[in-house]
Amino acid sequence: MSGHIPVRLHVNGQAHDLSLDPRVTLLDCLREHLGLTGTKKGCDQGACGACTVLADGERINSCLTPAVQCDGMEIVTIEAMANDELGTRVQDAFLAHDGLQCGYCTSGQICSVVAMLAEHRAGRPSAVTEDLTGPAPLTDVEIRERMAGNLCRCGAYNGIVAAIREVTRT
Amino acid sequence: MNVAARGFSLAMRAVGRVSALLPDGRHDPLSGRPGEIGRDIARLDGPAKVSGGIRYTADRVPARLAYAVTVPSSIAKGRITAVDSSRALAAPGVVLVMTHENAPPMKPTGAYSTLRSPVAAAAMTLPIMNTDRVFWHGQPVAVVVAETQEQAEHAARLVEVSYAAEPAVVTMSDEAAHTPAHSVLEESKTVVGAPHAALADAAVVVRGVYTTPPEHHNALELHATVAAWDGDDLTVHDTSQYPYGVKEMLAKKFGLPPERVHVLAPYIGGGFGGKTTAWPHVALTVAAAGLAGRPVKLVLSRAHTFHMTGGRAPTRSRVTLAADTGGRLTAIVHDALSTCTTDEFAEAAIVPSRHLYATPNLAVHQRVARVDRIQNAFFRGPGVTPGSFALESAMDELACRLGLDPLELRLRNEPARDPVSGRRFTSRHLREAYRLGAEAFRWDERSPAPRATRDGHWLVGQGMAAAINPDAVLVAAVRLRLHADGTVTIHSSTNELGAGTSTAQTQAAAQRLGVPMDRIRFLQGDSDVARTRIPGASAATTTLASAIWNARDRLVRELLTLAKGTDSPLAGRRPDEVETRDEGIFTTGGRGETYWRILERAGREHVEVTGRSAVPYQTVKRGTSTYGAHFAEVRVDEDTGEVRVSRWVGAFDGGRIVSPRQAASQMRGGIIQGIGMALMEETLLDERSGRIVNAGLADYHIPTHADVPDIEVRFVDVPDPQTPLGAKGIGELGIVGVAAAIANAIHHATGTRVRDLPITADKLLQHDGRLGVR
Ligand code: FES
Ligand code: FES
Repeated sequence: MSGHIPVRLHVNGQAHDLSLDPRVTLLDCLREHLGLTGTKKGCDQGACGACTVLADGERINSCLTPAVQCDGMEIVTIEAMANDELGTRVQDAFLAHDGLQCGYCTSGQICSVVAMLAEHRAGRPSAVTEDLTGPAPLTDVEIRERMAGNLCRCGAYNGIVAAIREVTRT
Repeated sequence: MNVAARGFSLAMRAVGRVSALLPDGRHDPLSGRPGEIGRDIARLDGPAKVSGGIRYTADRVPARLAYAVTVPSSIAKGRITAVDSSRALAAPGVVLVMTHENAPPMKPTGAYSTLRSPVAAAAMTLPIMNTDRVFWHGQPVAVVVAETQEQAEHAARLVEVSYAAEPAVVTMSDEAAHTPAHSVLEESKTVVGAPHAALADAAVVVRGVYTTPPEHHNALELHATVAAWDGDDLTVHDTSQYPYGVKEMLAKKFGLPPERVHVLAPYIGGGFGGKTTAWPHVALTVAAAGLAGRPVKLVLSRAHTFHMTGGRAPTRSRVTLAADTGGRLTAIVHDALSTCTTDEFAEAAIVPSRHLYATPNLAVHQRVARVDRIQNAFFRGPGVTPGSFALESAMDELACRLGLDPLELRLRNEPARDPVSGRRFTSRHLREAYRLGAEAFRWDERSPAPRATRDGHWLVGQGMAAAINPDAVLVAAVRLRLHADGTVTIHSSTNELGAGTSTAQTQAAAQRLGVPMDRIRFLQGDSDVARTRIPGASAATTTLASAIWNARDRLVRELLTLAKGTDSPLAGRRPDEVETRDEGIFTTGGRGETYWRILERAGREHVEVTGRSAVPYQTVKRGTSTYGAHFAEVRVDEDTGEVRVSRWVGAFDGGRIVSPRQAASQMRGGIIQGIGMALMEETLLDERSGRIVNAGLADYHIPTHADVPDIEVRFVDVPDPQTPLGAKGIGELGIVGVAAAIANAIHHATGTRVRDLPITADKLLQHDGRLGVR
């Protein structure tokens, strides 16, 4: 169609050649074009984190990201978490600690946890990291700060933090 | 008082008198027994939820789908004088623009929230898009349907609407107030004894005015409707807490026989009352799908959930408490004001003052003032949540005045019977909740004086408050099918909001029928199963349990009929001689056989029965409520006035707890929403235009990970002798009292009392001359 832009997306290890309206966000592309509805829309404004996916290993708000901007990127969504060893452990820990209620924020929370753990392993500080000279331990305060972009209106926060504690301990 | 309010009061008194003659509730034999009920298990839909496998409403993408976007009004009151859709219609991909000029007629329906008659889910009676009138700022005035979401959003901005504005009233005032017919099904004005004389004679009197702002539910899932017509059949996926009510509403609005309308809502991404009633966009999507001749999906934007779905109305409470020197209440006076619209529903802040404490003298009076705003909605703990902020703050002020520990003050005023009706309780274990909570919190270590504890620049304080919420068994039916292999399917028209209903019901049904949990499938969210009126009200657990109990009794009767005259050991047995256990029916003497054997002998593929919830005599005859106690610690930054909640214990009497892990999560969820209410949540209105100015999650703040400490939850866990499973509904209880516990803790930390929610740093700095001046 006129005005459409060709784009090649790699999603969960699969390549998709698409021609997209440049206004289509990555979130809507996943949901409405590729049938990957596990990623959710809670605000479409970058304020809730429900749409979190991994793009080349980094967590992003897919609602703020035009799909055409992701040309050539590796996108990982909740649907592929079970293929990943860490992803599976995070999912299991969410179940064990009841880190979910309605489940609407859960996909975003889990993707966010996986990337957050990588950020922490890479030594990236957060806003509450006091000592910037060495690796900061992943305390509850650190976890809560680093996860603060993922809202949960049901209030499953305690279970999510407990799940993250368990994953980092084992 | 007006005629409606007087009529309601008289009717309630008559019911009260008659109900005294009713029998008590039937004791549920399951209520005290160990088994699946009360077992700590993970939620059954968890694996699907952690892998993104659950389909919510907006996840539906039927073939030939078109996308709809609504256009909000930009005035609060007046008339639409012209709509120019030409530019929108000319935009690429646009299928149609629906306005009041071309929308199909939709018959008006009663508004659910008036609770006049419990029919249909309609949020309001107003004829949205069948009139040129504008009733609130943000009302949908046009719907644009296009091939893609992006095209629809673009075209929606091209619709030009002209208005003739009229002056609107958007804030409440005493002058315009009247007494509503009822206050969440209780009378709006009650006087017991001689409260004003008691005030004059009292040793101690405290007076305060407490306010709570408008709030929005902000379930993370946006409201969404996907509608498809197939001839005269209508199938609608909707984010509804009340699928059966939406079915009834749509049938009425579009003049269809109810059996042609199918509403599906198995999984909802949080509701909290905001999805109890159907807001106008639901019918508008159906109308647009009819005009388009193809399926239409409408997902409200986050901003539009503020404009086009209602929230909690603001409240203002004047509370006066009087006590003797021993700390016994001699009077409670609570006058409350709230807003309402054409469809009168009061956010009745007076409710907790009628039930929480023993007092010989009481006067409560709820009033409402009509405003030109969207219909106000049920929101977790309607009435009790804002009302408990007022009452429980006032109790803390009274404790301070008396020099008495706030917990001790509450213990001294714990009633033996309902203070207003004089009825006994089915069960009330609030004392035990106080004890459990205080112990876990180590309340006895709290220093009595305010502003006594400091940790660097943090002032530390502890506060507590009580919680109460009415419990109800409502109307529901389930279809239960026993298959030849002994497995069971239970179909219900309720849904899973995240409360854990499907898990709890599977546990309860397993024990009721004596089959392992993995042999039961609980299927939900289909409006066509049966008339089911559980729009919320924390009623799913007990109502469904009652229906499944009835289904079990009918199943036993059916199976004994099948066994009659055969060589079965059950031949000739009566229902009262047998039990359901070990995957079959057995006499107490151990004779009997398995379900599959009974079906096999009878040559049946399955047996199906319908079970209905029982009329809840006990809750009419006696008061049935849930209770709780919150213990909170806060830290207030002396320099900035920032408040952090650092410790929390909540202890609750919710009868027997069916599914402890999910129940604890639900209480935490309520407490966290209460933290939001106390410290940050407020729907801000431009008082000149009626426009909501913070319609988004970047500006309307809800608690994040970083705002929430570890929350300890305890349950008394004693069965109520008169409720199904011995359980009571706890979905709303958690939020009640939270804001007061925080306000009381802030007072203890700083010595400053803030009576207006939310307690933001600016209010604290303004009220507390010592904060922020170092
Ligand atoms: S939907 Fe992307 S942050 Fe909310
Ligand atoms: S589980 Fe419902 S929003 Fe997080």
